[in-house]
Amino acid sequence: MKWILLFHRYILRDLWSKPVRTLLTISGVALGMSVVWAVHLSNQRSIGSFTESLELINGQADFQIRGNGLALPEDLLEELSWLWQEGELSAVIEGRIKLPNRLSVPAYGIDLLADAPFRRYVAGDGREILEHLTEADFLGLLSQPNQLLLPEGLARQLGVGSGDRIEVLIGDRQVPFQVGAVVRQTGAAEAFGGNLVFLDIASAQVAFERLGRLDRIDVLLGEGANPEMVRRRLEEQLPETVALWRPQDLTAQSRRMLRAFRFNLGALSYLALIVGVILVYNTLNIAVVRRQSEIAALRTLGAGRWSIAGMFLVEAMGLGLAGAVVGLLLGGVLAQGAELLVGRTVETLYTGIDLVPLERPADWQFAAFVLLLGTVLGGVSGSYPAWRATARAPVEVLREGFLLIPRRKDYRWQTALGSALLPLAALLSLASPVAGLPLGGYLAALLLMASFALLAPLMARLILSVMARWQSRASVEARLALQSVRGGLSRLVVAMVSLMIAVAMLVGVASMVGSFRQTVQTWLDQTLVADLYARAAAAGSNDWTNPMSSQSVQKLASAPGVEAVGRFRGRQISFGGLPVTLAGGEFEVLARYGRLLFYDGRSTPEVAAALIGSRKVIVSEPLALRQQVAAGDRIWLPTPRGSLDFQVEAVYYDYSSDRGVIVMDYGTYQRLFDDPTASSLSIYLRSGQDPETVRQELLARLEGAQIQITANRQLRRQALRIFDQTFQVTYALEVIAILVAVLGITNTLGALILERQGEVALLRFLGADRRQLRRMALFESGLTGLLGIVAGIALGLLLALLLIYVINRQSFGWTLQPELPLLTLAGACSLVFLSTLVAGFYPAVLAATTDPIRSLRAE
Amino acid sequence: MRVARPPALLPGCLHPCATISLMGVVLTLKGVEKAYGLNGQRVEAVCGIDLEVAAGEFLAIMGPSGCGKSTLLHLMGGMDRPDRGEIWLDELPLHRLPEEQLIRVRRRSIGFVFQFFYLLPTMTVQENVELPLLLAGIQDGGPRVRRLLERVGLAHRLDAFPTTLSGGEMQRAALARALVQRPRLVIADEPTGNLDSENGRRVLALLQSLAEEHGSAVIMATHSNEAAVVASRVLHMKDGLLSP
Amino acid sequence: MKPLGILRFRLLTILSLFCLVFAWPEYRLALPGYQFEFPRDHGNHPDFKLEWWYFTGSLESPEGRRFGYELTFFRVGLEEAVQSASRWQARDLYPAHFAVSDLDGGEFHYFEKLNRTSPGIAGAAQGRLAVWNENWSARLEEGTIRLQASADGVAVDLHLAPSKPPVIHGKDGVSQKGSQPGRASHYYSFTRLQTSGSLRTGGRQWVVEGLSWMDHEFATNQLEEGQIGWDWFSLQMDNEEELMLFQIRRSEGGVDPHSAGTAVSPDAAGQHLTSREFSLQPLESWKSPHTGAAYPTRWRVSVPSLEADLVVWALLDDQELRTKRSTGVVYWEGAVEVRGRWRGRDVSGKGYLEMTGYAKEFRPRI
Repeated sequence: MKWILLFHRYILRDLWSKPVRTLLTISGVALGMSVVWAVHLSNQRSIGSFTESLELINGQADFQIRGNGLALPEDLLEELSWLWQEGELSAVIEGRIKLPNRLSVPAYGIDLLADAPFRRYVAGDGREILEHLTEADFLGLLSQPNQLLLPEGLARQLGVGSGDRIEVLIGDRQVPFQVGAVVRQTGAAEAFGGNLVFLDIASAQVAFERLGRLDRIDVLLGEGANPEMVRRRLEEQLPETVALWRPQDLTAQSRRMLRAFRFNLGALSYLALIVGVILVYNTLNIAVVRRQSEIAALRTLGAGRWSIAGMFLVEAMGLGLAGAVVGLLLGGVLAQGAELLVGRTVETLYTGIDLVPLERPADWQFAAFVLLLGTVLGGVSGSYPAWRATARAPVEVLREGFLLIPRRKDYRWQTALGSALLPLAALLSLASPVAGLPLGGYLAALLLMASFALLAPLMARLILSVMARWQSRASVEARLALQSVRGGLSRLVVAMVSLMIAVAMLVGVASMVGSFRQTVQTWLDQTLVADLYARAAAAGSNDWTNPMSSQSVQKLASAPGVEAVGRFRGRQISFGGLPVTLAGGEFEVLARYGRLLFYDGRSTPEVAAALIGSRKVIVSEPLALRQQVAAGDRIWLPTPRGSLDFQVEAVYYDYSSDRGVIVMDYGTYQRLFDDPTASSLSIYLRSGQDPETVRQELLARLEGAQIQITANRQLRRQALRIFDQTFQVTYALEVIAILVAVLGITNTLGALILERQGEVALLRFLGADRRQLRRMALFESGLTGLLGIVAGIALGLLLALLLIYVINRQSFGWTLQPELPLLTLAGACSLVFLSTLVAGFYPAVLAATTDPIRSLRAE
Repeated sequence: MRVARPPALLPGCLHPCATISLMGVVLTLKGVEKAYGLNGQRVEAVCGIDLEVAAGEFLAIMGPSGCGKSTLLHLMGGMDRPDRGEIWLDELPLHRLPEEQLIRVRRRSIGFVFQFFYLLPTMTVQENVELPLLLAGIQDGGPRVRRLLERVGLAHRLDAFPTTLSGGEMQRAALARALVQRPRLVIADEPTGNLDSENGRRVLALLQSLAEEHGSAVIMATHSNEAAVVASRVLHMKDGLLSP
Repeated sequence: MKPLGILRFRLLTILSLFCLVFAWPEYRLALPGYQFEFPRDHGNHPDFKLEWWYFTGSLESPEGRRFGYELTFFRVGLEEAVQSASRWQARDLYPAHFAVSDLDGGEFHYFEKLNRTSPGIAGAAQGRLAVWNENWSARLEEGTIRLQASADGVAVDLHLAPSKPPVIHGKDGVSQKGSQPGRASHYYSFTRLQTSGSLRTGGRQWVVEGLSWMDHEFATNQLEEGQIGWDWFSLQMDNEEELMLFQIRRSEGGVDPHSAGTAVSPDAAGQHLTSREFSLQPLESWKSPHTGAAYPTRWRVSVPSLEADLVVWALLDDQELRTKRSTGVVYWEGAVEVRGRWRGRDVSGKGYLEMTGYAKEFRPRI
């Protein structure tokens, strides 16, 4: 009770009496926390919606029998008739269609009768679809061709109801469908946010041209079945290219696929917290220094040392907690935007499926974690000031009276520790990834930041001493500011460090993204050399299920004006536990007209010559790096003729996706897979042909085949637009980190001015006018900002190296050419500098409005 | 205002030992020494002091600044420990009490008055005065606090914050805070150092009469002769040593 | 004949309207003059809308434990057949029922399935007896029918060897069920199948032997308005005679004149019996605690022309099937025992009794 009273009277009232600073501190923490919460929510809702969707689609199945990138022959069911003894089976066809609203959605061909034990389909009135429909409708749904089962949200979006006709795109064909029934968005229909359709398996086989084939067989074991026995027997019976997938395997694979992305996003979000922590530290530190004599007085009155330290610690924890609470509220709002960005990025990079964020109850567990994190971080950042509050014997403080001489701090051990951390960081950056995650890289980044924070006073002193040389030429205000900064360095260091870290993050990430962008651009320039590119209109991103028919390809290849076409056919397989693309590419055409960039520097024709007609493949860099595959290795790939070994001829640069790609010659592919379709075409024109004219001619030639033909320039633009899109989340995080740092500057400088009110009053007595005081304060904030920015750029460049050479490479497997985006950096840094000036404005006003008499008296 | 002092306590009238035997000793110092480091140099602030202070006594210690007054006061107030020697507050050996108990002693038995008042700016006058009670866990000190503040002439400023008070008012509030616990010992370090003489006199008078009412011993460090006049005994301090 | 009723009720909501009201131009009607031919007619008849293969039997283990079983495969053609290259095109539905009566244990288990024509899941061969639904199947190979079915720890694996050739019911190749032409089915039976194999129930595997009966019937729309249910008997006497009798009950009361039967002599000759040539008289009934339906479980059967006067009683009261998932019909189908006089001699025998139309219809799932 007494501590509550005391806490209220001593701590809370103090916070209350400085509302601006308190607010700044809390919002600094809150911004960091909101980012963590928003990123978590969007990770969970967007990425989670993907894995959860897989689970929803899987339904009750104990496992799925799937071919690895290959369809299963439907006769397999006859061979598996013994399985009926053990449980239920349901065959499924998986495809993707493009709806009239341009939405590319998964389409599942199911056998409604066999599917009932696996998945529920609920009609609008809440009854099972089988019970809801009249028998005639049900039988119609079952026996009429091209009937779609639409989730109600999608139906609303499309403006269609039961019985309406809609045209959908499949491959390069437009296919008429009818809405057989509209189902509620629950159960399987809840997957992908209800952006999916179901159709009868017979229609699916016809529509997706998969006659006689199935994509998977779901198995639901009966009560008495022995799963292990069943698995063993199946594994013995099934060819090695067919695998049994338990639901957890499916989600585990997609989690693995998204893990690096998720981890990096999460790591970036936590970086925003660092600045918040420094803010709390700063606020507490200032309070403790300012209140030294009060603390001493309290102690003479019989308050114990630890009680006082405890109060400050609770204050720090309270600030952290308050920040976390506000952060949760703010983060909920931020998440709305973040999840769209995250969802879009995941869609473009990985799933190719428009991810509708899942509506789900708030994750109280993580919210509790955020609150705890806020409290703990507050406590951690407040522990040193709290300890410091009582470190000096009250006697000593009292002896000094009100002349709180800022004692010259000894930075020796800090400098020593800071210097020691540098080689440690360097060592950590050499570590290999842990479970595919660049833990060493991030640790090195943290150490680097810590090291720079420790070395900050030294750097500041160096910079200031250089500046001091020009002092004589500076204005009075500037000189006063410089002196004040030099004198109050120990306190300014905190502001400088927080700004430094924010700027460093900005510089680091911007340099990484800039290098990335430049690398991609160069790569596009060098390898994207065909005049036109074609793919089926139905194909979504990362979608290999909608190829062009061989007829369409033929039509395009034989058109006048076309010199050559290079076919490319990809299919998704699972390789090393990750989804990768196995493809056939036309190396003869590529060798003559196109180009790929190889690791070993060999020319395209040379590699192509080795590939054509042989069982050799090339693999993309992300695959090589992430799965440790090198030229010369033998890898086993699933083909309709069983699992075959291929020799890796070369590794090529590929920045289109961090999914690995394995390419064999199209001829080899054709021979093995007996698949004349193509996912995409590179079209090379005869010299002198205008791409746009030929494009129009080609489109006319196709006679209704739905194929999208894109000119080189457009595709390049598109690629860069997608690139920028995928980094929007990153940019957003950066902006927030800077915002927090600017808050920090305002906070620190404001506190400094408050603290030195006496001094300021003295200056006024000595004849300084308000304008001069304001300018002095502005100079001071500008100077602090400058220190932070200079140190931040240095740190940022080191971080950029870590990001480019360690973190990015280990997470995604790309080699980036380092490139300093000078313009961006200069712009960003001047913006930061400007904002520190703006931030300094409040302290400046405060300085100018200081009532000299009042201030001196208060002291 | 001034209350007549018993002649027995007039300085020089009686041997200090007689007083002690008469009134009971509150504070005893035996061979107390204290040195501290300052800029790498060792400064002997207190070098072997023997002293006894009786209940009700008002002892003034005079000396120029830097003579070790403050150090001595802090030692006597249990804020600091001697390097050598013994300090007894009644039966309590302050020189070797653990910190926990020292804190309790400070809470219960010692009141401090400082030159710079050290009122807590976030607390009202009443709350400042109530603070020692609060720290000692006494909940119902309200009436006592108000009575005391009435006594020091601040009844009308109960809810004022220190920053709105004049120096004299602040010191009177600090006085009330030092005495609210009826401490055995009041230690005042230049209590008038920051006040004009009018206010200084008023504060001293209050200190004296309140101490008397509460039966507390007062030890005051001052370099002002005017202040020393109210004391029942005056000792001079020089180079860490006391002399009458 | 019996499935007719089942179909009627099972398909009540699905098909009954169509059955009764519409003609099915694309399906063949069962008309007189049909020439049966085996093994062709053991197989599927996709040009008829409805078809079923019905196996029932009375079995006994060497220890004397008595069992009954029923395993039925239905095929129902759906509307007009859609031309599709996919073998999954739902041209037909395949419901199936499986029941085992542990007569001495007093237990009755039944199961059902519903599938569409689909590779490896459900279908029937043409030109030979082979019909399957998931892991239930009946196949005639080398003169023996192999029956296999299992569900939830209840299973049969039986070999059925015909000791008499198939007997064709009705007249002129049709078993007439209504007054209009085409209100009929093509219907034949294996009336005496020597059965051996194994049966699993109650966590135990039994070696069993006994007699089975197979019905195979195909039609397009055989029932008429006003027919509400029927009682059907298959009796296998120890004098090597068999008797199949059914009576169709009418909504206004009384028995439909198209009720009929067949007596099969030891030399396998079938004798058609019209409704006037036999009488079926309920003696006792059992009320189902599940549905409240009262089923006659003891009957007096007399066929004057055979000088047969028999009493038939259920070996277990509760042999009621409530087939919610597949057909939605509630019916009673169970093992019975028969005793009486036949041409002046004491006879006894085993058989199966099916009774439909006693329970209130309830809405089928499909």
